[in-house]
Amino acid sequence: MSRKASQAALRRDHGYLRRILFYAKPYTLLLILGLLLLLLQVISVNAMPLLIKQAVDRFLAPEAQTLDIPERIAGLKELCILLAALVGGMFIFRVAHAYLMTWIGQCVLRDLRVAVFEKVQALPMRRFDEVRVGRLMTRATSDLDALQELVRNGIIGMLANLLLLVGAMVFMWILEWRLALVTFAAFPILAGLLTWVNLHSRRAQRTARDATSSLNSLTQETLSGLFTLRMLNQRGSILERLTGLSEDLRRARSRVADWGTWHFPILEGTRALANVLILIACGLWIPHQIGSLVAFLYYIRFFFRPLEELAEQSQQLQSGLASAERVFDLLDEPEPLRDPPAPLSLGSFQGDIQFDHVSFTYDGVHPVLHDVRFQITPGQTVAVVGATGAGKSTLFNLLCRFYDVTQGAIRIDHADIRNYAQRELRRKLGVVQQDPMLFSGTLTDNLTLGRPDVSRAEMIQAAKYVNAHGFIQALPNGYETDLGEGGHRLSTGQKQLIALARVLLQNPDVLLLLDEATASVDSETEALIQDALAKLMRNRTSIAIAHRLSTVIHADTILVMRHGKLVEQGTHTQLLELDGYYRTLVEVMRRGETL
Amino acid sequence: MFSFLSHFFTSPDLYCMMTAFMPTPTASTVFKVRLGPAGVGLLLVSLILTLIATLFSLALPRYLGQIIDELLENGLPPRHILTMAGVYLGAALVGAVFSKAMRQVPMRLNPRIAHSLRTDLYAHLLRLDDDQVRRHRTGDLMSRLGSDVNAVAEMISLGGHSLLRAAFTLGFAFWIMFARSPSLARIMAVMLPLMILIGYLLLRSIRKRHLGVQEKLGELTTYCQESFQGIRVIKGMGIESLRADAFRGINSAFINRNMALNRVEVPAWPLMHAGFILGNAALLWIGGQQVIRGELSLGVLVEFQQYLMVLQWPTLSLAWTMSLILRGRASLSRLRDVTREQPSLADGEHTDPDADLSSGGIAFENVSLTLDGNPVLCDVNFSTAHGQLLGITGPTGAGKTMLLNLLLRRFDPGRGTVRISGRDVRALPAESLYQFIRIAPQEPVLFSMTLEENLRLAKPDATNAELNEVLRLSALESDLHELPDGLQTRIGERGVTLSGGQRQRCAIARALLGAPELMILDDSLSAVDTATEAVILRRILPFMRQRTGIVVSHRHATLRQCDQVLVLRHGRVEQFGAPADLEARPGYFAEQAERQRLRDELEALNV
Repeated sequence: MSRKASQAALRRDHGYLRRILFYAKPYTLLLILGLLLLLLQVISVNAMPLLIKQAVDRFLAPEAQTLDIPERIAGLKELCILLAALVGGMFIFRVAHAYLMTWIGQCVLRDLRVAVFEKVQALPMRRFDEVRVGRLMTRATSDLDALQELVRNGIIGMLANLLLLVGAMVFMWILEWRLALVTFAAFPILAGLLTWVNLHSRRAQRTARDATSSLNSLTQETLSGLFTLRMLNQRGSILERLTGLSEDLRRARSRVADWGTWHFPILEGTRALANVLILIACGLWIPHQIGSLVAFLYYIRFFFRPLEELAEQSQQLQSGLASAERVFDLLDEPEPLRDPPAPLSLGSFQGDIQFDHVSFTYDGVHPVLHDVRFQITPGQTVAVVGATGAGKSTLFNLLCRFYDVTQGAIRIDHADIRNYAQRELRRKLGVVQQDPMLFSGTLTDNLTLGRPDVSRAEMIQAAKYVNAHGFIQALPNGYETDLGEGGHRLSTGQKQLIALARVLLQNPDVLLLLDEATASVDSETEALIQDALAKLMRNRTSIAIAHRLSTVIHADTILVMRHGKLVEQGTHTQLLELDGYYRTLVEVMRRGETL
Repeated sequence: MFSFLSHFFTSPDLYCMMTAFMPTPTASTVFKVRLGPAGVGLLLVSLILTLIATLFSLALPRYLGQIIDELLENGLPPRHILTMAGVYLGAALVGAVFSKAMRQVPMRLNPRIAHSLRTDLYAHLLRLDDDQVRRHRTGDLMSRLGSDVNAVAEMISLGGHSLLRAAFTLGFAFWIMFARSPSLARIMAVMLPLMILIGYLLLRSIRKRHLGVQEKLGELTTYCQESFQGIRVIKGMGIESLRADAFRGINSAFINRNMALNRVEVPAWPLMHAGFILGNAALLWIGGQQVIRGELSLGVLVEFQQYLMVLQWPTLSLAWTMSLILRGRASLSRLRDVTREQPSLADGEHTDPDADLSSGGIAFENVSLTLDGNPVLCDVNFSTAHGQLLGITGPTGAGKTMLLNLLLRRFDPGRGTVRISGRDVRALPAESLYQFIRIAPQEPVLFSMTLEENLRLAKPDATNAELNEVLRLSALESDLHELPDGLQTRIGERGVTLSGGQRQRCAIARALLGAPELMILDDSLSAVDTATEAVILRRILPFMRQRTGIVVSHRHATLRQCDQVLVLRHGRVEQFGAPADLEARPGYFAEQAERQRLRDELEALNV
């Protein structure tokens, strides 16, 4: 049973490796070149001890005394020059191989990173609440970093080391198979000891990592809660705690040191063992092989290194695969809101919007909208009113197709919106939010959003139109001012003006307004915003979630929402005559507004 | 010897020694590294172990050369060969054990020094004004406490040891080598310093480029974060592909930085390796000629090749040490920036240690406060007596929290005086001030401890009865049943995440546990539902009335229960008086009262 399970796990791991290799496919030719360079490297590295053997046997050993001295020196000179040339060749092959492979690895990772980024953008809206954004960030950062390590050390590094190891073994075998056998005897000892030490080392490192993160989180809290601690007169006790955690970390790091420092002595010890085995073999078994002896002493010095690295890399492979699993799981996530294979064009957009018996629930349990029916003709100004939680903003979410209706249909220009391409649909709908999100970058970046088709003149014109040009010019670098993370240098009102310019540049056919009275905007800016909004709404179909009576009264149609149902609709006058829920709402709003 | 070392490592002299390498300014604010006797012992042991391990590592090549020379003379008895091999292996294994011990000591010293530096820094930071700490930004301080502390610790422990070891190894090695063959030793004397220099230059360049990569990586992360958080805007505007293109652009820049790093990092080790093999070739050429002429035995040539291999690591580590010192020096000066700061709000000569605060009233006299050039409070004047409940209200950004901050001495006023029990708060010792006042803020800080530990921060020796009482007052009792381990539930990153309302109520319980004479609720029920809020207020307002109470709130129902209400707008006192009087007069308070009533009406309609 467990064997079956482990076989399945193995198959799955192979699957991930294959998928990573799939991303390397565009670089196949370069990969073959890399392999070639690796082979050349293996050959040049391993040829060196052969030259040394030649030098010793033919010119230095007592047996070489058949030749006269100048002849031997000339031969030695030739070999030394050859050796130097070989060193040069090895250096070039090695660097070229490593550089090429690193570059390919980086490109593969870039492609994966972009794939993850695009995938996240395509995920449905409900995957973006606060907790889940954190998780998505982990995928996009630390998991991809681990994947990068997997590609660099786990795949590229292991392949190179395997070939180096096998190459060395082949050359040693050809040079003198008996000495090779003796040397190989030391390999399992080294591999076993290193695996054992690495295992404990990793465990100690994990403990140290945990200790670090405990200390870090308390430190972070202490720094941000310094005043709280001061007020509680507890700075002393928190210092004690921090000291305690710091002491834990010290102890954990000491453990890491205890195990980590075994590494080198084990390597040295095994090398010495291999040296001894060679000496004994040369002394007792195969005499007159002084050149091979010197060459093997040389091999031993350098060829335990690939084995040592392999021991470490095989463990990195494991942890890298765990991250690969999470990344590929994300990439495999279904996209429930798909564009149709042949989307209808929205080119000749009319702006006729129809909600046809629309019902909707976010969680499948609690209905948010129930059998909502209405129609908006092009050019109309519509106001949606109702208490908090009546389902007003859900109308927008459905119209933008952030979610699909549970029942019924939404039609634009008489076709179900599921027949349009989502991006094209959303470009026709301009959403104006009260708390707009700005991206880091310059003001220009935020206005044009990187669209190449927006000229500078158009941008400035738009900014002027929505009354944003004035304050932008007053900024130190004008349109090139760097806003920093989240645009925190601007006031809320200024951010809103920029968002309005952004929407104007989008040139949508339908405007969706979330019109909440904002407390944090001063009255002067508020007037500028209202003026800009009025300009934006001119000649456009607009739907506003209205909290102000002024917005409501001037609307062509008013939709009155209550508990997810559309209870009344009509013009202001019609609805007042109806003397129903709307009338009460208006009274409340009126009294609120006259204050 | 022992006491000398102890003095050496507990005094700033160590840094003076370190600063000998470095033209960094003043060593006046450095902190002591407290190694303790154990640490000094470790250092002594390290010295001895390094000496022994070095001798072993240099003896082995010599013995190997000797064995080879003997092998060349044919006809050695097998027993003799085996004995030599056995001695070689034995010496190598003993040497390996010493080598392990030698490495272990500095590696253990390193976390010890880091721990000592860290605790000193913590103690210092906890003394500072929180404004000073905030100016540094948390992330910045975290990196100082993390990587900078480690860099300094590594510089002292590993750097120190590596210098010691390189000095021993190279010193002994050259001594032996010059004795064995001056001409071959000269090759080494030319080659090794060259390798150290090249290695150092490479490492320095790698470090610089590494920082460049980190910077771009930060950009990548920020871009992802913003895109994921701002997904509504991106999807709404249909600019996914533009965002992805820009992301590709940042990625390309990231790869460019990475490849700039790789251009140095990739050839670094192969270059050092090639250098050593070229050294070997030089030995073979010069030494080989001598062997051919019969001036040198083959064994000595092999011996020198082995020396070259043994010296490889100390040489590289010397280059590494130089870059370590470079980094440690920069980190040390960053740590000094922090240690140099002195708190301004700490108790000083004006502090009156025996101030009596029992009479309890509060008075603001012509108080003004300007922060970063912006006026925050203007001529605030009011007073409230012991046993009164004061309500404070006003729009967001009116300066309510700043007013409380002056009372709590988070800042000192630019003009005017804040008095508690008739005394200037600036003259009150911090400890008695904070014994006297407790505040439950709107966004309280809870620590990653158990719930009980969080509450007990207010009064470590509180009895269980006292604890249960504050849990009841803050209506937390019922929540305890929902938490996995009740009072012992761990809160925070690796524990349970409390809701905003629960956090606020914890803060109230914590404040109450301190049994303060002046209790402040700073909008501390904003995330609690109305029904629970009413319960809590009913329970704690009597408690607050017995002493002095301040309630900052937007809710009219709460304000109406106060004895006096202060309306703050644009940093000025707009209205001050009994709530009933204010309601009757036109103004902010009456407007808010009406708004609240309408909102209630609307909510009622919705039912």
